[in-house]
Amino acid sequence: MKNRILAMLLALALVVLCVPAMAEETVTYTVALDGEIVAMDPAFSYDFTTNLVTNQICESVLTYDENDQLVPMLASSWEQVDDVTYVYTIRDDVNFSDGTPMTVDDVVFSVARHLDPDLGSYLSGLLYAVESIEATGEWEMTIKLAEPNASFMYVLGTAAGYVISKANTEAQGDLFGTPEGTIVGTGPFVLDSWRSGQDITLVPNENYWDASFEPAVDEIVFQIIPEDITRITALTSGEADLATVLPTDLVPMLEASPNVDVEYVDSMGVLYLSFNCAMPPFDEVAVRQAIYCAIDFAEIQETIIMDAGMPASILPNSEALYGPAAEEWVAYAETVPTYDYDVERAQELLATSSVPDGFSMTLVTNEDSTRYNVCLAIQEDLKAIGIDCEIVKVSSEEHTNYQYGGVVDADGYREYGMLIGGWGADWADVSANLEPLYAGRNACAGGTNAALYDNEEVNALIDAQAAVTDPSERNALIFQALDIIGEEVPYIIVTYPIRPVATSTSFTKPLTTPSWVWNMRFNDVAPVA
Amino acid sequence: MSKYIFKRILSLIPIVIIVSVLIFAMVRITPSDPVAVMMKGKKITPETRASIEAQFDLDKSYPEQYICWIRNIFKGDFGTSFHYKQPVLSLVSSRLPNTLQLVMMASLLALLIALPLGIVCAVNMNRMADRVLSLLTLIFVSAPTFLVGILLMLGFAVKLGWFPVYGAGHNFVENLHALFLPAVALALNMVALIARITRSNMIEQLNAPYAQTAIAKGVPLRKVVMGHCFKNALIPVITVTSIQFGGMIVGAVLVENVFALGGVGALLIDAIKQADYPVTQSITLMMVVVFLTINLIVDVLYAAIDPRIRLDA
Repeated sequence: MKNRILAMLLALALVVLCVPAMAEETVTYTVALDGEIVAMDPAFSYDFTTNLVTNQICESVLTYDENDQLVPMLASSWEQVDDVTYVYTIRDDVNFSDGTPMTVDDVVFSVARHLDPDLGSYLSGLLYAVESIEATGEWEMTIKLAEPNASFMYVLGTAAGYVISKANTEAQGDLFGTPEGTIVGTGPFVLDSWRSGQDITLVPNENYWDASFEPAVDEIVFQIIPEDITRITALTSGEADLATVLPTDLVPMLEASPNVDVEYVDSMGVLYLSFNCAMPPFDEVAVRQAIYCAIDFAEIQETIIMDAGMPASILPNSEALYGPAAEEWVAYAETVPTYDYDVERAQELLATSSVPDGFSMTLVTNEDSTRYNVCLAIQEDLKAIGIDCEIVKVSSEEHTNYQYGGVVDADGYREYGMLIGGWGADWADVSANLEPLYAGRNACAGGTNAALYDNEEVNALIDAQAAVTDPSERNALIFQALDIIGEEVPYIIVTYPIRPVATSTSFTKPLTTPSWVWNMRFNDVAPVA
Repeated sequence: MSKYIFKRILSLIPIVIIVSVLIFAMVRITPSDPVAVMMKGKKITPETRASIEAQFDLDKSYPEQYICWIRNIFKGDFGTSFHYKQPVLSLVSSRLPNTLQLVMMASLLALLIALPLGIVCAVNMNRMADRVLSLLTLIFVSAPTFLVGILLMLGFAVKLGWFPVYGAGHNFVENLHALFLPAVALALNMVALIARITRSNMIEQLNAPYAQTAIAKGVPLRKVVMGHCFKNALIPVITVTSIQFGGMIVGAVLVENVFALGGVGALLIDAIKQADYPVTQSITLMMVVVFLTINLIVDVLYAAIDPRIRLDA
């Protein structure tokens, strides 16, 4: 018996130890993902994990260049004919990865499918103003809107503009987007294998339409590594070459490694504290201003946020969204009201309100350590003006539910006094944060206006700027809205977050701009000699 | 015998029904709007909302949803994941082989380590060797699996480079190699329990009259221990190991996450976090059925060995 056990042990040890390390002859670019992708489908490509994969397989009608400016990609040109009509001239020299030529029908199909209610596309919200999408010539697509919308032009640079083969997508039916199905796009890489929950392998597209493309890697492997420490270890030990979703507190480990370069990219977003303006006493401006003054945000920035974000003012966006007339923003930023840490001023403000001696409130956060620490600091600071702040810590998905109005009481009111949340613009447009956060129409169930702020004057100015195309004219209208917002502070902007992107020193870096969720492509990635 | 098995299977039916109702209710107990979670808070039209609700039966009442769920299971359809937009069955079937292999390797390793430990402790009861080994198993059981996993990875995969840092490999042999460290991390907790049970049962057997007689007659201790007592002490050990096996399928999640193995446990935890009802309720129900089946097999084996059990029933 004993001998038999010994023999089994030895056999196991032999098998385990004698498996040779895989001989590496192929050049593999390994990307560490923080989780499984949602689906291999443009309709569900709207996050920093899924898009890293679909961006390599699909190309869009338009895209964003290294300065985040809109440029044509699968279109050769486009123009806005009038307030509501956009005409795109489609390239006639593009073919799909299966060798079939891309036609205008494929382009119309790819954009129009996001409007199908049965699909439930994540991008459908971006296309809400669309009235019709039609082929108006052999190589021409025309999109008509129901109402003017200045930011519509950006939409086809997102996954809503990704072109996929109509024939393949229809033939796949329910399998499309799943590991059992296939996706046919026009991009430089094609799907080779997808082991659900483990890894996704792409190989160069042999039928790529741009003949000048010479792939420097034989395969791109997306490895799903949910555990932060393992993902970071994979990078420092050279087993992974790129990772994007990185916890702030572990980034110093990466910066210390000689194998890894860490770059910070503006996220075009904000980390905010929203007041529930529909709930007393947060409907009083004095209460909101008092809380703003009672919290030491400079200290929070210095000790908690550190490298993860830039100090913020009342402006809903960082420089990344200043747009074509950026100098006007720089000048305006000098004039905005400030709410520096000042307990006396906070007390005076609160004394003018209906709750001069303070009150009790809830502050909702998710499990993110930075956000939670910010909440703890706020809780401490608010004690000084008699406000008893209860922190409600919930899971990320529950938090999403709170933030977008999924959790309401019996009367339909949102169940939080304040909420700490994040918002990231989809593109580098001047109103890309203003409209979602402050427009009254977004203060609904599923809406992005977590402060439930609804000021008619602001709403009118937001609508007015959306209909204007001249940059200075738009800025003037936006600044008028910001004058009111700066006074009423429905949100406190905590910081303008920046995202770390870690890349291996043994490969050249892919283009990384604030728009990288849409434009990070690995075409040019090559081993460093 | 077949009558006994039939009766046992019949008695499982009400259990499965009650458990399925409980699972269904518990999944829905937290306040949550599945459509908002599914759309990640993105703006959607009322038509899209209505269409999604219809696709996932969310427009129906809870009792109707429950009946749909059960009816579809009998058709082999466990529903479609809210988050991944693909059938639960294909999500699970692509992850189950890794989890099963991991759990089997861990169980095997645990037995290989725990049985000799337990026997040595029993033979040397209350002597130095027993005390030291008992302390060691105590350390094993109290070491957090997550931490052990990371330490093993840093030591054997990063420093020594003997094993891959992450991933499960592409074929059976590669899997054996890649899953070795995770299996060790997972096995350590089990080692303690199995070793304790082996020890106490071995002590009981060694003190039994038949063993004492054999020793008194001059049969070598090794023969008494391995030839007679070990076989008798093995039965409860097998029971505990097989029941642990079921629990480990979910318990493996920590190890699966550390080593990026992409198993069923990790899928379940993600699904719970994402309020992905179909995945959560289906995997939980599958686990319950696995537990019950293992229990049933163990009971039947007992009955086969010991006729008194089936007569009592």
